[in-house]
Amino acid sequence: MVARTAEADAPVAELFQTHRLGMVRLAVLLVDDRETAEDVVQEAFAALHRKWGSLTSTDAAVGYLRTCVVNGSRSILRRRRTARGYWRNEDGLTAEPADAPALLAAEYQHVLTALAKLPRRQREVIVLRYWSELSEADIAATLGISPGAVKSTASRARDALATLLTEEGLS
Amino acid sequence: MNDPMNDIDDRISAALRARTDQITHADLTPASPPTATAAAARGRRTTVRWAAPLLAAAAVIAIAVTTAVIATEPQATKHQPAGPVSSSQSSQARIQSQLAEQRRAREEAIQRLLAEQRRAREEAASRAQSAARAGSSAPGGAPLACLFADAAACRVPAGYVWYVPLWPFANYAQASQWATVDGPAGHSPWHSDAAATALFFTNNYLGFRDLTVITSTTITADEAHIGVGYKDPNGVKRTSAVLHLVRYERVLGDKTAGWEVVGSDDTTFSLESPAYDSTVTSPVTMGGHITGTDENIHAWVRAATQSAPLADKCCLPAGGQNSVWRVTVTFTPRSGPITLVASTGGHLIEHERFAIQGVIARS
Repeated sequence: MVARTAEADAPVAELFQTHRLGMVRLAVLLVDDRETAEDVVQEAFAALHRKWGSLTSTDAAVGYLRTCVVNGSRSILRRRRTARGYWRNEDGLTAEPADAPALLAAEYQHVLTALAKLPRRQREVIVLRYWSELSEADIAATLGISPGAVKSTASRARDALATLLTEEGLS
Repeated sequence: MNDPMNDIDDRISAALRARTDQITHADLTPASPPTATAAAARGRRTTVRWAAPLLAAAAVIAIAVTTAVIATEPQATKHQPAGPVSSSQSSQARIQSQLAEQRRAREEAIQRLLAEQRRAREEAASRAQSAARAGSSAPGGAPLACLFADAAACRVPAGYVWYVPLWPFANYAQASQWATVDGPAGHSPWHSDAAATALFFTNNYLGFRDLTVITSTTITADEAHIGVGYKDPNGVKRTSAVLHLVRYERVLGDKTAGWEVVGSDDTTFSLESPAYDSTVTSPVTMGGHITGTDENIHAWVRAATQSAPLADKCCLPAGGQNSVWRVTVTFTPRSGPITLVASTGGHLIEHERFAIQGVIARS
């Protein structure tokens, strides 16, 4: 096991150097805070290392990483759901770093706040489409859903965001 | 003029970029990439962590087997990407592996296309069920088909995406006129032929007269997916686009209704933004993905009620592997369904690939 996976050390290290920041940024958009995002990404690279023998190209490896990050973020949110609701409703706290909202323009913060209110899948599709700029087919592969579901989810998410921003008088 | 829906796209992209730009390499906690030793240790920890529940589950199953026959099926991990296993790291094995990957990519493209077709059919059936649940019915008691916003008065769930009628009928009134008056009198019988409608759409409406061949047809009672294209110098048929058509009808399964082009099934050249059925104003930013070399993207905006394009913009250099392309087009203001069109080519013929998107214009 160790002998076989040792062959993965060098290429995974190279991917780690190249893609770690991008994956952390992707995870931040899904889990809100950088520390958790870094943990998710570290787990994703560990999974990539274990899976290396069955991946045939760099593109496949990056796609696998992206899927691991999305799935890892989803697991975090699932575990965190109760706590997030408690923090936000009772104490007005979030998992965001204290300085993050202050450093963001109010307009951007409004959009991100609305994004956080979307159902989990809608949020994932929006992030993969508008930030990762993936095609519908690649989003479908990442999330394990059909391209048609990606299209309809993106449409609904976009409408929901527009409605949320309008309701808050931010459009 | 400010387009609210394009504005939403821009605001989302800008906000996400702004958030992620807050994180730089300098912000990241120093960390090392995983190694064989670390991965093995992690694997052992995982095994130990799950040992107790696994043993408990095994005990439960063993007890259950003694009391009943249990049928089980292996379940694949839904979100786990799979790849062909490479048993050797030699260069020859690598080449074989890359070839297998290319075959797999082709097969996946075909499967994606088929999945899209299945999804469209399922959505059409779902719409009919929604109409039936809403209590709407056509004369005679048959459920109304909510394929188009103007074809029926049935209620639909929030967030519902209508088909956008692109061509040849500008609205249901025109489609109904042909189905009930003109069609029976023998006027424009090609409306009842999905392949002919797709070809006329390509040649006469879009003006792509170098595309003269039907390359594929998948036709069901209410929907059709028609490949249009050309023959290369070797006489091989090449598909430029697969057009999606539906019958412009009130009652699902009405074979007398004419065919309407509503979109395209995109693969290596896609037009994804603005979103299907979204409301746009001029100028509109069109975009999607492209795979190819030395491409030139030509964009148009068209409306079924007008022979001349509302906008014509050429040419955007593009290429690469699944690269993002984007072009902003200013078009003559109008209201109603419009067709966004993008094509690329120039290697063999002018319009080697094209894609369309149906949106609603607001002046």
